[in-house]
Amino acid sequence: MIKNAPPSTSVRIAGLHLKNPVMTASGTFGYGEDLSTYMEPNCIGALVTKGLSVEPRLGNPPPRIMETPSGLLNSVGLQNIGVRNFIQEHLPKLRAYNVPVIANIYGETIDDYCKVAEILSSEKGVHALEVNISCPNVKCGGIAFGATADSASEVAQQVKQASRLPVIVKLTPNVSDIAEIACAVEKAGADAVSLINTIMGMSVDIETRRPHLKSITGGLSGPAIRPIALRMVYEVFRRVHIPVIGIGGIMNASDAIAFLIVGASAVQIGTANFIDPAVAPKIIVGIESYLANHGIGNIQELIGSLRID
Amino acid sequence: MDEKQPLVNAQILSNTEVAPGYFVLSTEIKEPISKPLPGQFVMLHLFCKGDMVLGRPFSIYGFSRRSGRSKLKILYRVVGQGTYYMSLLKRGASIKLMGPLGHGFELPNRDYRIALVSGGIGVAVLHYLSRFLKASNVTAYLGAKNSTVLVGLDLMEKNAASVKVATDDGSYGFHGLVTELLHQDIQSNAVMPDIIYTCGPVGMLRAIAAFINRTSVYCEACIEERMACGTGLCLGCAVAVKEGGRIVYRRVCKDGPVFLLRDLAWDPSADDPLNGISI
Repeated sequence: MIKNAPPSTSVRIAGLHLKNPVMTASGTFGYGEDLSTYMEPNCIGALVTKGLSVEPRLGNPPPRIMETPSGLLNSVGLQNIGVRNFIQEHLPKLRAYNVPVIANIYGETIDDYCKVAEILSSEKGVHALEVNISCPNVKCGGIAFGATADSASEVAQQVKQASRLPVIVKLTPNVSDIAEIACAVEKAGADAVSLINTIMGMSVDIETRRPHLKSITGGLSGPAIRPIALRMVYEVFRRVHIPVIGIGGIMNASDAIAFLIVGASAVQIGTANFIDPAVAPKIIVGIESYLANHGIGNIQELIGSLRID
Repeated sequence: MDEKQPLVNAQILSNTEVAPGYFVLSTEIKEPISKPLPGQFVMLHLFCKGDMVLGRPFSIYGFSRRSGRSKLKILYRVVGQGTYYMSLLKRGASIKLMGPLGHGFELPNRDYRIALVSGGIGVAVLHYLSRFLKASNVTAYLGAKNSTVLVGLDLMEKNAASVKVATDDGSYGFHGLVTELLHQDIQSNAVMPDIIYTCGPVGMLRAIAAFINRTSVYCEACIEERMACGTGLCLGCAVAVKEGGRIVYRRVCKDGPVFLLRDLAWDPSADDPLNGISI
C-alpha cells in the first residue's frame, strides 16, 4: 500500500482560505481572547466573534439559560461591548493569532448593520463579516430581518455595499422555507450563508408556573437541533451556489463530517464549547483521521458527497 | 497540535447522604489541578446520562493533596435531574470535572473580626473558606430549614471560635432566620464583625445588604446562577451589578462567584437605558 500525504483539509469560503473547516460559532467563544487558554489558537479554521453592535448592549435580564433535553435554551440578548470597544480591547490580541477573524454583526436597523460593517471594514485583522439576521432574543432587528426573503436580501445588499469584506449571512431556522431565504441573500450578493441559528423554544417550571427564562422564550441549541440543522443545510446546499457553513449541535467529528457530506463547506462549533472548551481541536483531528481512514486525499471530495440511491 | 485538557477525570471515593437529600461527594483526581481558592468552584460532568449535555457548577467543600493526588469534596443537595443522577454515583465510578474556576473571596490580611453567614447549602463554600481563616477570629452563623437538614455544623465548629445556628422552625438553636439572629447580635454588640462572608438564598443576601447598608462592615457574597459553561464563554450566568452609577451584567462564573455585597443590584429595571452603558 502506498503511504499517502496527509489529507488536505483546507477550504475556501467567501474568499477566505481556512486551513480546516472548523470554526467556533458566534457567542460561544466570547471575543476570542480566551482561545489560547484552551487550545493552540492557530489550529482552528476561523474564529467568529460574539455579535457586535454599534453601541454596547446590556443584554437580557437573568435567568438567561436553561438546559433542556439534549439542548440549551438561551436568551442572552446579544450582550456585547460594542464594536469600538471590541476593536480597542480585543482585536489587537486576535491579530497576533494566525486565524481568520469573522466578526458577527448585529443591528436594530439596516443603518446599524451598515455602520458596524463600515467600522470593521477599515480595521486590519477582520477578515469577513457574519451578518446576524437570526437572533431570536432581541426586541428589534435580529430575526425580524431574517424572517422574510425581502428583508433578508435588503440587509445583505446594504451590508455588502457598506463593506469591502466578504459577507456571510447567518440564517434563522424559524421560517417555513430556509432555502428561499438563502437564495434571496445569494442574489443580493452574499458570499456565503451560515445556518442554523437557534430554534425558538420555551421551558416552564410547573411548580411556580413561571417560564425558566426571564425573557419567556429563548433560542434552542445543542444536539437536540442537529437533525433539523442537517436537513436545512442539505436543502440550502442544493439551491445555492455560494458556500454553506453548517451549524447546529455539532459535538464531535462524526457530527461535523455529516454536515460536510450534506454540503457544508465548513462547520461552526457552538454549544459543545461550553461543555469542553478544547473540543474544536479534537474535532479537527477526528476529521483528519476520518479522511485518512477512508482514503480521501482532499476534504473537497467529501463536501456534498451525499449518496442518494 | 497543543493538547490542553481542561476536563480531568475524577474517581468517586464515596457519595454519602449526610442528611435527607444532602450528599457529600468525595473524589480523587490523579491529573494535576490547582489548589482551589476559597469561593472557587468546579464544573462537574456526568456525561453518561442520556439527554443531559451540560456540566453543573459546584462550590468546593474540601480539598487536600497527597503525593500528587488531589481529593476534592462537594456538598450538594438534590434539587433536579443532574443532582439526582449525581446522588446515584457509586464508589469507583468516574466523572469529569473542570476547575477550579472563578474569582474567590478576598482573604483578610490581618486579624479582622469575621462573621461567616450561611443559608442552607451555602455552608459548603463557607466551610472551605473557614479553613483559610484564623478560627479565633471567626463567628459562624448557620441557617437551615430545620435540624434535620442542618449540615456542616460539626466541621464548622472546628474552624470557628463560636457557631450560632438558626432554624426556620426552631428545632435547633435560634427560632427564625439566620439574618434575624445576626442582626440581633450586631445590634446588641454581641458580635461586631469587620468582615462578613456569606453564601445563601437571595432573600438572605438582601436582608444582610439592608442592615449593613449604612455600616462600615465589608461584605463579600458568593452567589449562584445557572451556568452552561463555567468559563465565561456563554454569558448565561448574568448578575446585575452596580458599577460607576450604572447597572451592568457580570458573569457569575468568571467575574464572580464572589462579589461585594454592596455592588449587587437587586431589581434591575428591564428598561434601563442601553446607550452609553459601560460593560
